[in-house]
Amino acid sequence: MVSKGKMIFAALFGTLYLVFGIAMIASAAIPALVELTMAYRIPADPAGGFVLCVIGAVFVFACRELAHNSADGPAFLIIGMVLSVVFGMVALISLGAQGIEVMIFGEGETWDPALLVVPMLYLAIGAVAGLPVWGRAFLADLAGA
Amino acid sequence: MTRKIRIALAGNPNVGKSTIFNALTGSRQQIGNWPGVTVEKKSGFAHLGEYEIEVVDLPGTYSLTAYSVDEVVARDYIIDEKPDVVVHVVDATNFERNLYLTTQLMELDVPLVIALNMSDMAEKNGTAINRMKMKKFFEIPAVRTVGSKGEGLDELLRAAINEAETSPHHEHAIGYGDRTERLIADLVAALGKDPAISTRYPPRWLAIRLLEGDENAQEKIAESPARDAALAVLAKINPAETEAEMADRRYEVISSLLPQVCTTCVRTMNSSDLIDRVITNRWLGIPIFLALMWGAFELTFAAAAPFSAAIEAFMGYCAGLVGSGMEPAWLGSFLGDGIIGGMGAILIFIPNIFILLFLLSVLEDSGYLARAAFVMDRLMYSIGLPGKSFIPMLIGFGCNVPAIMATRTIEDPKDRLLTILINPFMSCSARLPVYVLFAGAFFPANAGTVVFVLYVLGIVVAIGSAWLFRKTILPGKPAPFLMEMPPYRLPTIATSIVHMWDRGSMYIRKAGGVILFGALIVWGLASLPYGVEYGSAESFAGMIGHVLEPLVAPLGFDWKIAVALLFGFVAKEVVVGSLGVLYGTGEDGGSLQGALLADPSLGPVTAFALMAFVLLYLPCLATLAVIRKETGSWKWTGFSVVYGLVVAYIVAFLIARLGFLAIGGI
Repeated sequence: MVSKGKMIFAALFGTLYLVFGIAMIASAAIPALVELTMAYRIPADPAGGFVLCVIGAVFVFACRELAHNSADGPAFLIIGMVLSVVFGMVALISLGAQGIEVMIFGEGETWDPALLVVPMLYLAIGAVAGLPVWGRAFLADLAGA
Repeated sequence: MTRKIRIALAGNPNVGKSTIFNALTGSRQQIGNWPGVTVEKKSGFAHLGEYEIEVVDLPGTYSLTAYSVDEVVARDYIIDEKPDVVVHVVDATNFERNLYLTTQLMELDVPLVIALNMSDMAEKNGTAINRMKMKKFFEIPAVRTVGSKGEGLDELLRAAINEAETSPHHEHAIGYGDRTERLIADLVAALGKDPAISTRYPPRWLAIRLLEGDENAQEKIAESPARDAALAVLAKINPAETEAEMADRRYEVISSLLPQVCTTCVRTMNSSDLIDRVITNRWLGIPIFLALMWGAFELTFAAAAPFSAAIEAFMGYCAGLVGSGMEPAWLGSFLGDGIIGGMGAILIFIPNIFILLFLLSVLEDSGYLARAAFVMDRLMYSIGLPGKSFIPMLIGFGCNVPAIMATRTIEDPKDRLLTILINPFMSCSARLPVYVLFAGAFFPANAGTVVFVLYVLGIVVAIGSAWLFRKTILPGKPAPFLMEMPPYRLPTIATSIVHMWDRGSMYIRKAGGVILFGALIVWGLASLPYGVEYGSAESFAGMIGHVLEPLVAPLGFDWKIAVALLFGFVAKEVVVGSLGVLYGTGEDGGSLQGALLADPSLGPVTAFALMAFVLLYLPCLATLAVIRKETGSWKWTGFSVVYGLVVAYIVAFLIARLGFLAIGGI
């Protein structure tokens, strides 16, 4: 039986990641969009946008496979969540390290914690919510593999 | 009194031979969660009771058919060196597939012991191998081992000693059917005409190898008086058909024995398989690979920043101590410009190198990099390239020297040469300081992305060059890529740190060795002849630079860059050390990035062109030496140098010209 919860979750985060990813790429490619995207704290970052699109695509594949009741569906969903966590950590460590550098060696510069509010990080916080619910058995199997 | 025996560890790639070797001997040989890490045999010593046991770690092989250099190394060692016992390390989680090599080792007629390694993982998967029945049916003792935890190793040594010294020696023979057995008998009789051959090699084994069309075996009898008689027998058969028939017989033996010794060796889909369905998906595989690599470079750049800033502050403090007022002045210049400016400029980037190596270790230990090779194989094979070459290319991200040595796992000589020639384009960690320096200075907001783009540029140029070579100087069809996927494992921090240290510590040694030496030579050239202004156009460095400047001027580089590139031939990090010396950042305590930004001849376009040039131009001295060794040819070594220079020049020129046009400045 298809789990509707998993499908809705995959569809939601697939859409969110793709929308934010495309917005980041578009704002880098079209300078006129920068003002609009920055208002929503979406940076003009093509590489970061590409990464969000990749995660979004994994969630979209998860949604499709779950809809077909395929055994691969949960795997796509969990890998999507794991990628979200991995890149959320990348964003957190990168921005945190910037903050530490500015605070210790900045010579008068200040660091705004609001810089941590980036799509790669806050989307990961949402996506990771599904991991303890659906990923525990999968990851336990992997740990024992 | 000490008694000595010698054992050889043989087995498929990635079954934990090196882990067992390290655990037995206390060595820290490089191990990795992908096949082909050990390409040369390594030896060490273990002790048990009164025994001193020499342990030899052989390269991993799927068979003993001598299709690749590492198979020949493993096979020739067993035949020529005649170890007292061969320990066949078997991956207990993949028991059936490993048994093919067991059947071939049995034919070598050497005392054998089987180490059922990774038994803990096999047991967790529900695999139950009956060792008593193994002993009964194979007549080979089997020992349960977990190399990573050191379990079962004493028992393994005891079994090996027992097999070497006290056990009756069993002869293991697989029946190949009446027709093939008659051919084997005819060949054994023919080979018996040459006592030198028949005493050196097990006659039945050599006969089987000849029947299977083994070129290496044919070479062994090329000068033998038994050659003609053997060839007369071989003329009766089709080697390809015979080889397939004999392989079928081996699998039949395995299939009949397997249920007797392992009733639970049934493959079921597990999490590792399911992850592969996603990671190696035909649409998502390459994007996921690129995304992960971007993450690694972003993290490398960002996470290292506070550490680099701390080292830079320390260097600035040291420069303050020696910079002003030290007498004699030349000593101040030597310490400040030569040592602090040169070596210090490199030390700042040690955190970046260590973090990148740590992240690559995590990806490798998790089993992901093997998947990356699989994913890239599809793309590479479609344009006529051997997929197997992607593993040496990935190793090249760390250092090109072991990467080129790792090409020994490639069977086809043309594929191997092609992989050697493109490997220097893979961006080794030694180039990283150059990227971090210039990307950090000229692209501060997107430095990680710029570094990522350079790594991708290296892959693109490597693949493009391979395609070009395939179409011109090295035509042919790539050999099919057969690769075992190691299981995914959650990497442990401790293991990844050990890997990081093993690979990264050489940079610290280099900083105190070749880089310091290079920087001091540049300092000497910048200070002499006596009385000239340090680093001026009148100094020797200035003179050399001005001779070279017309060559690099079309790329937007000035004479200081030319001198740095010249000395970067020794080691790529020397580029940064040389710039540190030439910009005189050591003595005044200023940052090299600041000095570069203040140089009116440098801008984002020239910085990017320079980074691309450093990525692609001459392989370093150590890489050249290994290219010479592995190709055995000065011609190909020279070709590698000239081709790299030409490609680097063209790419940097295009970047510079198109960049100048696009942004209207440097």
